[in-house]
Amino acid sequence: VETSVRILEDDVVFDAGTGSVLNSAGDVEMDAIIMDGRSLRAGSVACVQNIAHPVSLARQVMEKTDHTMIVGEGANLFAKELGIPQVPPDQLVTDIARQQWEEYHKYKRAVNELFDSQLGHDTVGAVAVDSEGNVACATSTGGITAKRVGRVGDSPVIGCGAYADNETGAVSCTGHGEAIMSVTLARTVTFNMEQGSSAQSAADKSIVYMKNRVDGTGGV
Amino acid sequence: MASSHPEVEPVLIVHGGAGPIVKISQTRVDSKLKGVKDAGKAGYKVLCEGGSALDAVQAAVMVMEENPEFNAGRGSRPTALGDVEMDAMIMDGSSLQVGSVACVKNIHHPIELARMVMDKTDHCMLVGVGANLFARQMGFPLVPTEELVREEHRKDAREHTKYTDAVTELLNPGKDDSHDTVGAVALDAQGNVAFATSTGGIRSQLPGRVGDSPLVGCGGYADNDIGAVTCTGHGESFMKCTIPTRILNKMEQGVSVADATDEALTYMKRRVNGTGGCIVIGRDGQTAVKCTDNRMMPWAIFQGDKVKFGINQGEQFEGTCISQV
Repeated sequence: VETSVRILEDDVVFDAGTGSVLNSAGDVEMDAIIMDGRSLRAGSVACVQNIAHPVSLARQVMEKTDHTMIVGEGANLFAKELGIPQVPPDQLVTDIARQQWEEYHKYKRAVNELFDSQLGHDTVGAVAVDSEGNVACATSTGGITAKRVGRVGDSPVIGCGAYADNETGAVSCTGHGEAIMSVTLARTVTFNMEQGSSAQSAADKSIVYMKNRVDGTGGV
Repeated sequence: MASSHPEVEPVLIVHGGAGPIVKISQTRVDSKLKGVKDAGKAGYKVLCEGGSALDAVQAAVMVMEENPEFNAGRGSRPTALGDVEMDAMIMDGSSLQVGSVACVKNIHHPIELARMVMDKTDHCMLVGVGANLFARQMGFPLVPTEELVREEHRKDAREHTKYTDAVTELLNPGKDDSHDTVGAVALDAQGNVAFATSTGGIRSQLPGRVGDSPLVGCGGYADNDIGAVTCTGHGESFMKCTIPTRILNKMEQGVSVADATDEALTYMKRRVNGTGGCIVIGRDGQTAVKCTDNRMMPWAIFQGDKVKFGINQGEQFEGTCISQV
């Protein structure tokens, strides 16, 4: 899952790594998570800046620390300790991301409207099961255009943006982060699977549940 | 207040953190018990005056943030760099709205800031520099780090510059009460539930480390259809198992509050060898206070005209409820 997500992070079309959207201050702040369903170990980073592959930094949080989540300046400090090269902010920003940001500033649109207009939040993710029956998931995102500085969405929050457990399965989510958080969407899907739903039916039920409870939209 | 729900009896539970079982003086025990009772009293007063569960849990947690006895607000533990980074979260079970902050520095009441994230932004969570920027916009006064840290904890931090050492030691019984996150859950007369939690983290943690407390579904969850939970203990373990959502999921399937709580803590021990405690309220007013058997946790339940409280395993005292409410 890390390999797939790294490729998506490199692809300028997607809102993750290179191609990330800009926050209200015009900066890129990225979030990512990775989880190993065998041990329930997870690593996540939020509000990290100037690196090309947040998902790999999340992997290092999982492998090299006793923690599960590191955010903000601390995440960048950790990246530096590991010798992960800094990339200049401009290298992560595409013309489209810049345009969206400028448009937002022109019209001062609210985040909700931005969401409805489907501007800029194509979080990326991957789930996999290996030949030994282990599952894993990974999610990476640049967030929502014109989000507040320091805003964290569902992606790096375990049980919200992603969850993996060998005893049930693996999930990665995308959509309106705040709604996904309100219903802890990834965990809702795995609980449905635990109670006997197929993966597809658990996914369907959970998306309907999110719509009913908090009027949220997205995908798993 | 008009409501379609029949009136229910309000309940409020607070805890002052689950630490390893250590010998502490009777003075400290009394001080911790007084701390949770004072906090609970403040929250229960809100409920008895017809206030919401949401306002009640916030009021209770603010009292504990003010009390240097607890690891939240004043009394927080310094990170490996000597800073104080605090996390807090609040959730309204009627709307499933959430507000949370993580790695925020130099403010007295992180829980108040979390509430503002919920009420005044389109977001659920703000972290780090962005959280402090928001605090400034909301007019929070900056508090010097020294005001948030007790001298003995500063000394601790100097002795345990490596988080690994700190964790190994802390999670093995025998030394210091190290990560006493605080929290509250409440059910109001209209049948709404809410929870709030606040923490100063584990001492000597890496800068930027976020535990379970500010993560929805990990540090707590509240849903009017089921109930409310908040947790304390080894944050990383609660995160891996998303314990609050597990407890509520079992309750939704008809398991009692007490059994669902026991099941989740046993599960966490089995899957990730994690320990800690939870406080839980069901929508019907059932309560559970439980921590794994290698820990002690000061707690208090306010219900009817009674307050129940305790700190050691299996211990329960009872008193009559405060006359002023």
